[in-house]
Amino acid sequence: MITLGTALAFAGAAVAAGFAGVGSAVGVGIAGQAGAGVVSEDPDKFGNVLVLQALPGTQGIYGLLIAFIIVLNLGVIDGNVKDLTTFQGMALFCAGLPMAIGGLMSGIYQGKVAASGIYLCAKRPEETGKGIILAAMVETYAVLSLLISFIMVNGVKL
Amino acid sequence: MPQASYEYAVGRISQLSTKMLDAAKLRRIFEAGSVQESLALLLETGYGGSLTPEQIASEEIDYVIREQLQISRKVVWEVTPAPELTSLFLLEVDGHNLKTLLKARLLGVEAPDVLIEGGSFPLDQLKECVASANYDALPEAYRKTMNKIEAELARGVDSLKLSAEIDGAMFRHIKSVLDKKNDHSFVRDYFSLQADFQNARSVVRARLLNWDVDKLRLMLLEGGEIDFNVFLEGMNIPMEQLGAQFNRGKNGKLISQSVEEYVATGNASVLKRKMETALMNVLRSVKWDMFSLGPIIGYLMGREAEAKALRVIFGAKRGGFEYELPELYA
Repeated sequence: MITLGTALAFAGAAVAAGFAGVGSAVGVGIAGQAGAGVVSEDPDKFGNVLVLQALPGTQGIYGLLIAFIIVLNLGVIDGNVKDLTTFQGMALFCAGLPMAIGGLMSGIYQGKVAASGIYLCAKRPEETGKGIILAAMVETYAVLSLLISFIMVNGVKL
Repeated sequence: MPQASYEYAVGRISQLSTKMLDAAKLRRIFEAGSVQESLALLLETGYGGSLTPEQIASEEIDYVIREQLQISRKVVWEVTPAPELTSLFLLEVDGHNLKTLLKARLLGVEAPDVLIEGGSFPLDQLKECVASANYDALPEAYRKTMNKIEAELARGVDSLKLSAEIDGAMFRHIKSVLDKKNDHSFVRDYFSLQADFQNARSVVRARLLNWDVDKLRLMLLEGGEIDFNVFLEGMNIPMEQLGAQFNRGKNGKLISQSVEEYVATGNASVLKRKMETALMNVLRSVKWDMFSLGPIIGYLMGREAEAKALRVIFGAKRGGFEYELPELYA
C-alpha cells in the first residue's frame, strides 16, 4: 500500500517531467513549423534551422532529470519503494514544481524566440549565431528552475 | 504540404522576402545600359523563373512583372492561415476583373489579356457571372451592387459610375467581413485609412471637376472613421479650410496635413503619394509581429508596390526620363 506521501512524491516527478516535456514539445513544434517554412524555400538552411529548432528541447531533458532523481530517491529503480510521510511527499512535490512551471513556460517562449531566430536566419544567414544566442538567453531560466528543483529534491531527507 | 500556421507561413515569407527589390536594386536596374540589360538584371533577381526564353525574349516587361505578381499572390494564398482576411487584400484584382469583364461584354469583345489571375474569387466564376448577368455566387455586397448595375445598364452606360459602384461594393464587403469577424487588427486600420484617404481625394477631385454632391456621394467609400457628412460638407467650404475639415478620428491628422500640402502646392499627386506612404506604414508597423498576418500581407502588398515601381522604372527607361518611385515595402 503506497502512502499519501509517496503518491505526492510521484506526482512531483510526474509534473516535472510532464509539464517541462509539454513546454519542450510546444517550443520545438513552434520552431519546427517556422523551420519547415524556411527550408521549403531554401533547403540549404536546414543545418542552421535544426540547431535553433533543437534549443527548446532541453527543458524536457531537465524535467526528466528531476523526475528521475525523485524516483531514484524513492527507490523505484531497485524495486523497494519507500513509504514517505505526507510532509516528505509534499516537499518532493513542491521540489518538482519549479522545473514543471519553469520548463513549461521557458520551453514555449524559447520556441517563439527560436522561431524568430529562424526568420532571422532566413533573412540574414550570416547572423544565425545571434539568433542562437537570443534563444539561448531563455534557457537561463530553465537552468535556474532545474537548479532550484535539484537543490530542493536533494534537501528532502528520506 | 503547406500547413495553416503563422509560424510556417512567416518562415516561407521571410525567405521569399529576401528576393524583394529595394530602392538600391531598382536603381541598379534603371541605370543598366539598355532596356535589355535592365531586363537581364531583373531576371537575375528571380523574376521570369517560370517563363520560357521566347516569352522573355519578347521583352514584354509587363508579362514578366505580372507573372511574378501572380506567383506571389499564389504563394500567399497557399500559406495564409487567415484566408478570409487575406482575401480582402486581393479584392482590387477582382474589382479590376469585374470592371473589365463588364466593359468587354458591353463592347462585345473578349478581354483575356487584361484579366488578372489571383483575386479573391476564381476568374472563371467572375467570367460566368458577368456573361450570364447572374451574381448569386458572389458575396452579398457584390451581388446587390452588380444586380443594380445590370438594371442601370438598361438605361445607359456611365463607366465612372460603374467603376465607383464596384469600388463601393468592395469596401462594403470588406466592412461586413471585418464586422463579422470582429476584427480590430491592422487590417481594419489599413482599410479604414484607405477609405478615409480615398474619400478625401474624391472631395478634392469633385471640387476640381465641379461635380455635384450626388456624384460625390456615389464615390464615397464605407469603412472609414470620418463620417460621410464631413466629406459632403467639404464641397461647400473654402479650400483653405478643407484640411481642417477632415481632421477627425484616428486618420484625420494625416489626411488633414496631406490636404493642406495639396492646397499649398496645387499638386494633386501629393494626396496619392501620402496615402501610399501611410498605408505602407500601417503594414510596416506589423512587419515584425512574427506570429500574425502582418508579415504575410506586408509581403503581398510589398510585391504589388514592387510591380508598380518596376513598371514606372521601365517606362522611364524607355522614355528616357527620371522616375519617381512609388512607396516600397522592402
